Amino acid sequence: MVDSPLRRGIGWWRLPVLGVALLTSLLFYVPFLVVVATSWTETSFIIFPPQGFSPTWYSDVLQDPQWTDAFKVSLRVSAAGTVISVVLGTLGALALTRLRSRTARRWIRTLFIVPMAIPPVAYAVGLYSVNLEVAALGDNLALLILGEALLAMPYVFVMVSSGLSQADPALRPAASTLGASWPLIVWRIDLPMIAGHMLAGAVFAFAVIFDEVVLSVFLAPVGVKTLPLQMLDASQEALSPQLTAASTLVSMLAVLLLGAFSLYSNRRAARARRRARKATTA
Amino acid sequence: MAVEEAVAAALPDTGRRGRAPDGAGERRWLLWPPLAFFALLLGVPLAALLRQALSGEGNAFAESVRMSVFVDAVGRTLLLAAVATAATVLIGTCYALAVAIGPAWLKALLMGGLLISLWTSIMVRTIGWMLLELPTGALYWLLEKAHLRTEPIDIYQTTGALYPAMIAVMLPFAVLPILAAILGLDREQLNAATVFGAGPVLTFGAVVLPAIRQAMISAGVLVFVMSLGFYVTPLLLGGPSNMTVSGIINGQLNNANRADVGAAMSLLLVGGTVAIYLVADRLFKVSERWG
Amino acid sequence: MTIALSIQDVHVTLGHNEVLKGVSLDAAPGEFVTLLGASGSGKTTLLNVIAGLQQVHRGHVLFDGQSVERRPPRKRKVGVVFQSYALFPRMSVGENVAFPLRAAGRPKAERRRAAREMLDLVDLGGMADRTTDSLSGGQQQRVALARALAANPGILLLDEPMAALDKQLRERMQVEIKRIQQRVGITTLAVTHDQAEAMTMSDRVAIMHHGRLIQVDTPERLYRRPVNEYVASFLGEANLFPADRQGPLPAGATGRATGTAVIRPEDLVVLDPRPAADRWHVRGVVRLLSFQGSRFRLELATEGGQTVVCSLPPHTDVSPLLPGSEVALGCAEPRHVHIIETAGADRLVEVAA
Repeated sequence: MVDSPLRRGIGWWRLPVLGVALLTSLLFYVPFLVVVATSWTETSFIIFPPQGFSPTWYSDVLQDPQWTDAFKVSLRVSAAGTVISVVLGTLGALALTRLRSRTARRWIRTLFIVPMAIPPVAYAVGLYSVNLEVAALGDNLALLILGEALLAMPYVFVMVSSGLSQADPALRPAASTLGASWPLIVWRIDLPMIAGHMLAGAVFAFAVIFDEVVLSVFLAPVGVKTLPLQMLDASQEALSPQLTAASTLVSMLAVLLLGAFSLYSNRRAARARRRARKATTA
Repeated sequence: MAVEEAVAAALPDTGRRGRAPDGAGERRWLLWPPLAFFALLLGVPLAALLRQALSGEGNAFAESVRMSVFVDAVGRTLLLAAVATAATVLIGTCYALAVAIGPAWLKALLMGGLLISLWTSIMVRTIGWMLLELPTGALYWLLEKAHLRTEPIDIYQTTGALYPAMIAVMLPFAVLPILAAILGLDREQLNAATVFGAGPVLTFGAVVLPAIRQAMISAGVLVFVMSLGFYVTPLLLGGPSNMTVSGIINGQLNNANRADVGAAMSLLLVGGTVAIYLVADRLFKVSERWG
Repeated sequence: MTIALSIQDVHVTLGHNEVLKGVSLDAAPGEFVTLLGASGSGKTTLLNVIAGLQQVHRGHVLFDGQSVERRPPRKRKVGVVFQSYALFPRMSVGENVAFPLRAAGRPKAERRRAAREMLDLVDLGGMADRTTDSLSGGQQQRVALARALAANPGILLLDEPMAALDKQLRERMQVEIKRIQQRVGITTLAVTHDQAEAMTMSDRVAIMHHGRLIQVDTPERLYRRPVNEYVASFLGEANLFPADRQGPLPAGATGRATGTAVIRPEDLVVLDPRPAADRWHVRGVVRLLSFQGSRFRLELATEGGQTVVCSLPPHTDVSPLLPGSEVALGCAEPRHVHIIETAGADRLVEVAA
């Protein structure tokens, strides 16, 4: 870590910097805590501070098909979109390492990042127009899933690329001089090295898609809602504590999954370190 | 094991073709599927937008540019994005520095905040800001408890109330790359600055800033471009007087029923945003830092 | 305004690791002392202690008799050449050299003059406007040295100054640094793991091992009179024999000393196949004979399995010394044999434990 030379170098700037950061962290915590706090109110509308303390609205949300259905739709869309974006994003990152021309590499890299820069509303309108014109696509989730996959792909691409850049660049030529074919090289050399990064990319892509609301506004079939869409609609109607109870539940789920994932990846890293140590002492 | 055998069995056939370095087969299978996906999912919607925009009687593009709501919204969106970007990058630099030099408890608190921002839905966070900023919302309650205010506060759906929420949404995109650059700082250069008598200002200017400048610019470009397409947060927190371009497009489609104008505006927005991104990418090598 | 340095019983603990276990060292004004040790011996930590980049847990650091432990690094007036040189990016050579003066708030004209003087001193006159990354490794090192000396510091610290240079350049720069140091007359402490470098540059060398100083002496005395086996084999090649009644003993020391005899390779000679019985000798089979330019290097394996190294003049007839042949070696100059006394060695082991 750089912290102690940096701390010394920053000197008396330290206090204002820490102060600004501490205040800024309130921007993250306070709105979240407000949402959580209002979800246990006993009143039939959102109020702060909450009145009383009861789990009424949690059981209400869990029994309301509007919310549970939306949750299931979101799960389906996110899962399908994640698979597509992980496969294509990984292929793209692998292809990038195999391109010789510097210009080509630059353009490919730019292309894979560009979806981050596309305004979701404009893109949603475009997909919506496609849906109108191509009747064969019908009234289903296909276009929504594909669109979400495109928006999530940059995250997978960035993470897998960073994994590949840490790898020893001599491994692939070495395997190739030993007569290994490219699919074998991908399977035995590249993929094991980037498996962790692919998983991280997948988690990220899933979160991005699960979170995304604009595409669903335009592309969700009539009567079908994703969870963020359901939240958006609920927030524009009367403010029922259902909204904050559902928000709390989803956030808790995210925190749990993320916790499990980081525990798993820490274990993995510790195992790898142990193995590396054994290898160097042997 | 079974898979390994299958791959090994497939070896003789592909092996002969794959022998040439940079083989065509390799490129075909790795590069073409994602490229085809891009062509289909970027190209077709853009073509559809163009068709849609040209389907009306008049010139939808000219009409859009003449509409004062649209022009105003463009100006407003650019200003919003510029202010949010500047604030996000500055605050993000402080935040990343604090993560690097702060005591352990603060580090955990700051990283926890980033995690909340990254992993809770943007809808959840925006709703939180709504509840905070409503005239008799949580902020009012707090101020009243502190005996600082007795009348309801009037910030909901104002521009000023929009900025903190926007910054909170964008901050992780600035903090993470800047933090990576800070953790990669050269310790010996920092020590050199200290030993040769430099104070904080000179140390920051001589060592820290040159090393993180590129990350700050990349983060800024990304935040700016993403801010241009911002929709949900301005919609809920900014209100009708703070409509962004995205909001205007939505209005053209759903309220004014002018699909052609909406499509034309969408094309202008996409074109403008992507053009800004590409120019910035050329100038500052943004995607090289990300990919 | 060079200073006298005095380090008194300094202890440093990092985490659970005691890096310095009571180090004491004195350097007179203008003296060049090198800390020599394997990596992890604590020598860089000691350098950081002097610069103020590392807190002392016990003990004192004195500059001209004044304790400086509480003085922050930027008030200590030390000049440091870092291992990576740590030149500032996006600053010209001149700006780098003038940096300490800029930090001290000196006017621009003075800064420019000082930078020019310093660059002349290190033979880089006229390069003030170049960018640092357009320089070669050796030139970058000179810039780092010029910067370290620019603010007229009291002491100069060199952290592995040659680590980033290739071998030929290294030898040139050792002489060069020594020349500049003598001209400026500044007290200098260098850190290295390269014994040749230490011996070339220093007035005295301090051997460090596991957070302690084992021996501080002139290069010649370290080589001729090592206090223990570690120093003997760390500095150059050494053949160690038990110094008992049958072993090699210096003239006039017969029977008195017990311990370990140190015989340097150049003090061994090849004897006749049948040496005189009363003369000390060692027998072995030649394992390797190599020509190294100025000397032949002969490596034997004795019956007991010990490896003995002998260095022979370059015009020796080596035909009877081919690998596999049996050879007897004797001591050319019994006066050059050094005895590490067991008592002394025991005492050192005790101290180290």
